[in-house]
Amino acid sequence: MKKTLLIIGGISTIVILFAIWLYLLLFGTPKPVADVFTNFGLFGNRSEPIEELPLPALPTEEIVDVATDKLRQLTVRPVIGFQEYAMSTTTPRRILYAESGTGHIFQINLETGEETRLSNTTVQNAQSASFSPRLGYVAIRSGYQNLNEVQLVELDDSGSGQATTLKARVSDFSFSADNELLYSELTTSGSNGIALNPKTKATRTVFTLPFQAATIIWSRDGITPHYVYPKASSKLYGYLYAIKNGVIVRQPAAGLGLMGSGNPEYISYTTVPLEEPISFIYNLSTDQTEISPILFEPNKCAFGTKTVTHLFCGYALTAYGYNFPDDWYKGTRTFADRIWMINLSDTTARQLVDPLRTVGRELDVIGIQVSSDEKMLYFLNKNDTTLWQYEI
Amino acid sequence: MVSIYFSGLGVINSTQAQFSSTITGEAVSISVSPQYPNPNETVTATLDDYAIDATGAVITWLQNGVALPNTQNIRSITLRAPGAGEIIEITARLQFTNKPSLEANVSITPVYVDVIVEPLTYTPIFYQGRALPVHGSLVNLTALIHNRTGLVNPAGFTYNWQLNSKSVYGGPRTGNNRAQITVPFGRSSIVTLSVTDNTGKLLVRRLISVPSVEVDLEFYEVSTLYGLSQRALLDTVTIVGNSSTFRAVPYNLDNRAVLRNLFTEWEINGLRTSTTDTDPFEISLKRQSAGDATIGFKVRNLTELLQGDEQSFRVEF
Repeated sequence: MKKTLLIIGGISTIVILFAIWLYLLLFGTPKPVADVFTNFGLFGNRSEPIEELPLPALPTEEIVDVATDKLRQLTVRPVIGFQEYAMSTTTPRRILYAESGTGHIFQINLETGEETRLSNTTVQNAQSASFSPRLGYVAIRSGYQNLNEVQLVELDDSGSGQATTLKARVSDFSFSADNELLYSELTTSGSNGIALNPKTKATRTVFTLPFQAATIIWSRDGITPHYVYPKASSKLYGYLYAIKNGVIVRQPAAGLGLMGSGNPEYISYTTVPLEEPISFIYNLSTDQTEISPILFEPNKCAFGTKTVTHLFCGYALTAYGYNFPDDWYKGTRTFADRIWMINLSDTTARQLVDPLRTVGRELDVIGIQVSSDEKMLYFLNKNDTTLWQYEI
Repeated sequence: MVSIYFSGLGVINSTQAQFSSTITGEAVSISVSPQYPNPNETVTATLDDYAIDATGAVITWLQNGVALPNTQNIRSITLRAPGAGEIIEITARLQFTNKPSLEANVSITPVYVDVIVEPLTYTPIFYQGRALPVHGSLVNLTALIHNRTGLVNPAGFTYNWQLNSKSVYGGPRTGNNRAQITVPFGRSSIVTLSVTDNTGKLLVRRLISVPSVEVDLEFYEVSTLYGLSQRALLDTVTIVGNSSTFRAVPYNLDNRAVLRNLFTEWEINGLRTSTTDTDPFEISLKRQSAGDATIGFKVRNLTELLQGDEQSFRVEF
């Protein structure tokens, strides 16, 4: 090879390398790692730039899924009280609920799923609520400490809601079938059951209890008596009483940790006699008591609204132990409940749904309510106090 | 005969109801167990005739004068007590071939006598269970007598309350169906109640076990917007936002100590901390870096030093 050709080749190589160095110097600025990572294109990133699509306009009202599954979560907000309203067969069924902490009232149309806020009256530290069976009033307890008060909020069209603070030292409250607010008021020697007309604010004494630590299962239908028992503890004895027309009548149910309630024909109650709680069904007409297949706890169970032999309960297939219900009330114990329907006449139970299996969630059922046509169940999940619905 | 049966955690309950025994003839009697049954409770009636020679006697049992089927020559029968306020007469008749018949009678009139135990110790308002007694705390006891139609006026009866076999008020008191006791040392105490009617006849005796537990401290997270969580903290909690507030709840602390004579203290990683909150049972934690910490809380009744507890939980942030 001639020497000239070698020199020309060498100079050409140097020029080419210089050109490459110059190109890299001017245009080869390193990109962020994220831009070049996994970009295996031969000539760099040739993909088209991503165009941002315009987001669809959000509806002014939230939409709740009320159709997909039989078991549905209705709220993501924590709820302290709710009530279903079905004005007529032609108007859509709807549910009103009060938000924990704020006391704001929301409404969900159970056919369209539209959710709207009805009242923006804030009740600070709202802790529990009860709605009147005829639309119009909601009683809300504020404060989670022992110094607390109950406010009666009148729902109106403006959404502002008129709130009146009850003067009484209320320990428990609920609305009656007659739209009266029933509450218990502590006295020096026990407690009084009071009925308050929410419109006139007039009160009357419904019953007088000779003790204070009482759990009252208020009658919601006006037919069933109020049931009362000393607050349950697995370490203390309890007794069940029915109160009708102001008369306290002892029921044949007693024992450690007693809890109980009933409808016009049956009483369900639970005691903790040994290491496990046991529930019983007492037939008022036959005076017979049978062992219940499902554990009864008044917060976890509700009697049928159309069929007197139906009882709906949240119940977990697990050992409850001798500290129940104390540990559950404290929140140191939770349950992954299934929903059951108990036939009180033949003491059989049928599982309606296992939420863990169907929606993958552990639901600790409280505040269960049955719709007026007995086609829906509503309840709260104690774990996060969200509102749920089950279509029977 | 006094029948005592045990139900759960060493708690003793005895149920006894009124009965009066009339013996016709020689030393023959009927013993009833439980001696004072509740209404509708299962009762065992046993013939006691060991004081006589009953060889060859035919035993017949009668209820309200009517012979009970399938009970001939049986020495012990089981029957159901009547409802509240109702009376049944049980008769055991011994017929001999060589001497006159003998009869023993017993009447059973069960009533409900409930004793409501109300410890005056602290539980928060959201807690649906009953407060439990701790050593040194007060407990209110209320006796309620029921018949078929409802509560009976306590004024017509005399009540004798005893705590661990010692009279609470030095003796019986007429019309006073309430008592207040101070919980003594020990895991449980026995309260005995005897009720007599205005003729001096013993109506009922009740034995009630009053347990004594420890103060139980639990922690709850407080949301600024939504309030107190219904689930107690177990071991570890993760602070998701910039800050969190936690509340300590001293279950079963003497009510008298909650308002005064109370020592409380929060600790972070073992170091005592002063909280700026006006409520000594709440602490607000603000996240300044990542990591974890142990939060402790102590509570003690300075009047009753055995009343107290200290617990801790971990926070990750």
